[in-house]
Amino acid sequence: MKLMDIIINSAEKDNLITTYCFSCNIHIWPPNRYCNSCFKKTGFRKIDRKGVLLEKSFSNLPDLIGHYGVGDFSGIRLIGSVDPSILPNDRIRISQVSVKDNKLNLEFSKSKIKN
Amino acid sequence: MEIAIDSSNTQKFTKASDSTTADLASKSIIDLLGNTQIQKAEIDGLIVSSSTNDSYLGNIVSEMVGIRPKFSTRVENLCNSGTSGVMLAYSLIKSGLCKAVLVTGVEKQNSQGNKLTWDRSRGVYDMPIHWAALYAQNHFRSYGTTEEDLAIISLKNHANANKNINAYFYDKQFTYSSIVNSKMVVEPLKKFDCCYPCEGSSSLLVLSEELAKRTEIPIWIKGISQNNQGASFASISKNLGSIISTRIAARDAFQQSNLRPQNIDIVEIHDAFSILELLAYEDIGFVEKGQGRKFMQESTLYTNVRGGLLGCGHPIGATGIDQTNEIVLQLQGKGGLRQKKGCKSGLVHNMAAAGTSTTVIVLQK
Repeated sequence: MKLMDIIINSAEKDNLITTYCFSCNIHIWPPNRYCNSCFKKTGFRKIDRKGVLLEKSFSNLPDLIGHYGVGDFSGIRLIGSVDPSILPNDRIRISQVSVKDNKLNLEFSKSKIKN
Repeated sequence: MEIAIDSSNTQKFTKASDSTTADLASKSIIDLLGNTQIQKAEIDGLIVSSSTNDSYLGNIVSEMVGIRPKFSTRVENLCNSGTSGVMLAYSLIKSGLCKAVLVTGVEKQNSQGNKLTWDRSRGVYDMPIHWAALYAQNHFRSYGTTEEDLAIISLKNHANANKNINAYFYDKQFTYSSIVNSKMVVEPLKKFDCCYPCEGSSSLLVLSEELAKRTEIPIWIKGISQNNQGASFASISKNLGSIISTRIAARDAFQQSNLRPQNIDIVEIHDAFSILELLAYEDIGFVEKGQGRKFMQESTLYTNVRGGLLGCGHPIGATGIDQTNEIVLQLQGKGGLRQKKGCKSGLVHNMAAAGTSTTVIVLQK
């Protein structure tokens, strides 16, 4: 099974995972069977849902209308829809994980934890 | 040994036609061969730059144009395919394996290269405009760039395309108003901040110093460099203020050429989205970071004279070749209606996939 298919199947159950290097202690995204730093085999691990919004915009494309942004979560960057009140550099959390057209569909909300 | 580009040819960029990828490539090569002092039998390399999935394309095109080269292949590097082909040709000649290498860039409108399907890490936001808009928002927020600034870039390039008969938008007139008021797609990028994927082919001939001296006006490759930072937007999105691959490729190409940004008279920039032209001014080194909009208003550098990707359209594999051809023609004084006076040095900037990959070529008369 392809790594991304495993991640998508897991996301359908609200479980957000990606590959992880247990030697370097880093998440790897997009997923990879080997760590590109130490070349050791990777396993799977949950992605920390707390992060920081790096940038945001507003899409008018059909089916995607709304605010979206890119966030940094444990050193990896994910894209998802964002609450309009969230600004770049705000603390965020991944509040919803789902799958749409076999693609990852994430929602970011403002984190209750202060900076 | 020095390496030069002599002859060039570009076919008109269009919507999808009945021609195959190989048909489009062959037509451009045949027209080029009709206008060069180099004999067909002397061509010992043929490279087809394309994101098509047509197998064995280099050899198919070689057979269709009657060339039996020492080396033939297809080069695929998404939107950076064209200049990747030039870099391979340069390397083949520099190594002594070949002396005359034809590079043809070609794409059909429905090319798979219009979208990087491998990068599923972008989730539902997998259209290229989503990463481009994030770069734009970052520049707006950090440096006060505006939608009006981007509209000026788009207007300039579309107006330049009105002097380029091969450009997709050659006969379409744009006004500042029609651009700045065009439909918002993904903020702050509007319809005419985005290039149009189209079909086309473009070819050039890379020559050894010995063969180049037989030609009328050889244009010398003084520096050529490429940098690759990965393939996914996730791999580079930590820093949205800069296209790192462009900074490194430009630095290395300038170092090789012993030239500096201030020595460049004319440049072709990869403006797949208007914001990318502004970022390139800064990342190539024409101006300090954050000064792109000021540079745009005050600089005398000739930029995207052929019309850029915004005015010409973007046939993936052909784009980098046509960009290079424009600089070659301008330095040769063969730019026709759009010829700029006094150009001695030029630069080509061609990139791919959210800026994960960039090639920079420095050319001189």
